[in-house]
Amino acid sequence: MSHRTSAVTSAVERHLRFGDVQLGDRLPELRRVPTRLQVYRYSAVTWNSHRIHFDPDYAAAEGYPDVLVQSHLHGAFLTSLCTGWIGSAGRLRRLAVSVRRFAVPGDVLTCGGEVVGTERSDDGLGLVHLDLKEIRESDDAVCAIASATVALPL
Amino acid sequence: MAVDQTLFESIHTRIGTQRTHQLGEVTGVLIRRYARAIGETDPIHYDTAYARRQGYADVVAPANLVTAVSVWDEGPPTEDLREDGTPAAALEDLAPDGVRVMGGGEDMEFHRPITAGTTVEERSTMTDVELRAGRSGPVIVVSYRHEFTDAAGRLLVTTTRKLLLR
Repeated sequence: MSHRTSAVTSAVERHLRFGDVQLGDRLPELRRVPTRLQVYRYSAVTWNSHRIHFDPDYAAAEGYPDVLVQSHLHGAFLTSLCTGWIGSAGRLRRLAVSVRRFAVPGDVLTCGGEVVGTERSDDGLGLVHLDLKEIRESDDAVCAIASATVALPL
Repeated sequence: MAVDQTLFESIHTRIGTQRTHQLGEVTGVLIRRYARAIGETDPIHYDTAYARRQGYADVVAPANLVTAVSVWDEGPPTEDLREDGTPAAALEDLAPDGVRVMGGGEDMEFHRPITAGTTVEERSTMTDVELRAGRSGPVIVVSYRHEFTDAAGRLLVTTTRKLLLR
């Protein structure tokens, strides 16, 4: 099976259209390497005081090698994967995220996705259904899986 | 306290419980800080003039922002937080000290973009509770549906969320 990667220009001014998308297309990968600082700032801005995200001693007592990347931060990376791909003319309509393995600062997380369905919507847009994965580079562990739907102009 | 049939039954009686919270205003600085924290660079989250040229009233929140905020008000005093650092109120006293709570996945629908200045209300309903045999002991899975609406009652985001208690 051959896969086509949609052409990438600027992530900001791109206007992906429904007609540009084919079943089996792969999204350009998004690489994220969360740091303790990033995880801390994410806890701060969401007013999340759970020790598991900022206190390495607490994380060790729970059996983890370091503080944990928040589930919603995994979700935010997958959100960025979708919104970066569709550009400013499209809309993210749905994102269902399931975190499968914990990730810690320093993990190299690669988010990717594939077009698994396309349909016209009632309101004159094109809907594209995506299967997404966030994979840790060091051991190929799937840290999160997701399905998403984006709406694009025809 | 352990995750067991007794805890499961005490949670099960709360299925259907609904709570409404006034979350207040999603401000421009919250949107910009959240965008920074997740590593976003799209000016739609930072630049009001740019957002207006794209047809929005102001900067646009990254899609999962409202679902990601743990506590919208100031929260309890530090000495009243649970051992794990979380406020008891956030869990509706579901999980006694010693029970670990983790997010177990979330299914979000985005109905309309949230721009700076939007006042948000959240209605949360506990929809289901299950007791499962996990790899390292019993797990209670609590499902919630949350609806985020603006001041005019328009749906912004709906989400179904699972919490794992082990």
